[in-house]
Amino acid sequence: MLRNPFFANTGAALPTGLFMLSDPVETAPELDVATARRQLAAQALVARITALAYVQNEADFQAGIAAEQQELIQTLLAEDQLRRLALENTANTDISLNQQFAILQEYRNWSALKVRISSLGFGFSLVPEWEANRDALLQELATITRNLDTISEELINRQETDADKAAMRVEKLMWLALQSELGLYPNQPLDELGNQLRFAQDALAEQGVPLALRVLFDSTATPPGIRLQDNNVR
Amino acid sequence: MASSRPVVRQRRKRLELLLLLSFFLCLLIGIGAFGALWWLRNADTPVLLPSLRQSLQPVQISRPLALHQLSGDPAEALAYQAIAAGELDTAYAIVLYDTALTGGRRAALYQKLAVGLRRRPNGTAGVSQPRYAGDCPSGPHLADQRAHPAADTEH
Repeated sequence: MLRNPFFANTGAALPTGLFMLSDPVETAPELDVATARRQLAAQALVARITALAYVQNEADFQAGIAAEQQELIQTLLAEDQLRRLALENTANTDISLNQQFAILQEYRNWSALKVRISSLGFGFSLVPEWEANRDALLQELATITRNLDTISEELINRQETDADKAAMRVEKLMWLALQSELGLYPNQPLDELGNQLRFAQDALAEQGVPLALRVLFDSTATPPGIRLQDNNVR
Repeated sequence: MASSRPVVRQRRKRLELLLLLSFFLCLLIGIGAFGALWWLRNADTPVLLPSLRQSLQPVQISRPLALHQLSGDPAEALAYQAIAAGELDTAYAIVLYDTALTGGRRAALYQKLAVGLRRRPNGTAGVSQPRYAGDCPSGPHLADQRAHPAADTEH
């Protein structure tokens, strides 16, 4: 579509700005240490796996990497503990909304990593405890995403101009729709997000910023999901 | 005048031949089009998965390459490295779970993945052709089609 020489795109690109509102918080030294230990443990496991590349038997391979894998598991669990503590502490400390936004994003990234590990996203069973609790981890990811949605909406409402609010709202909804499509915003109906996106894009157009590439929820698509909208058909 | 009649007859014959050939050509094209329509309608219906996350094939993921992310390597660079090494499922896993990757950066990686997957000799390992789904603030975003070919039993 974009290469069609007869197609004149008259809209605007969506300005980005929502995620620039986050104000990173300095992490606790013990968390930095835990992260460094986890990275070292992962490097050791990679080295061990590379050394055992000739081993064909899966049982022998698992036995060969057991020590390094166990070390990595311990560091992951320790880091998880500290990250949870840091998240809980935000409720007790006096930090700005922008800093809360940054902390939630950081924890969400960690939560998505845990979901990936629990889904064997590194190619093998890494932390059996998380695999057994995958549903709980997905629920946690959904909760964190909803909290992120709430805080970002509050940040959006603090913007000075209606145009900025409308643009950030579209950016937020597009990001949420992406997370839902990827399966990282569980139990969030995509058609609901699609409706919100439609209204938000209309609101943005009313502010004089009609998007060049609008999106919509297409229930007739295979599979149903968010698609680019044909600008000739509204 | 009389000498032009054989010429006119010759021209008519040529024209008739041309019309006849054109008719058969159009007939062949029409039959071909109907055949293609019939074949497409009877093609295997893909099995749709609830989400992209469930299209991941852990068995195909390169363990050492994937673990580099836990050792601190940036996800995006690692994904490009995996694609260059032909480890497409590993790259897919990295891109799938990278929550910060949006817009043109994600689209570029999906495009590279799509090119690599099309070149695969025996179909796909759960990820097939990309479709466009606008998500990013600055342009179109490529999201993988969630179709999981029913015939793909190799993995």
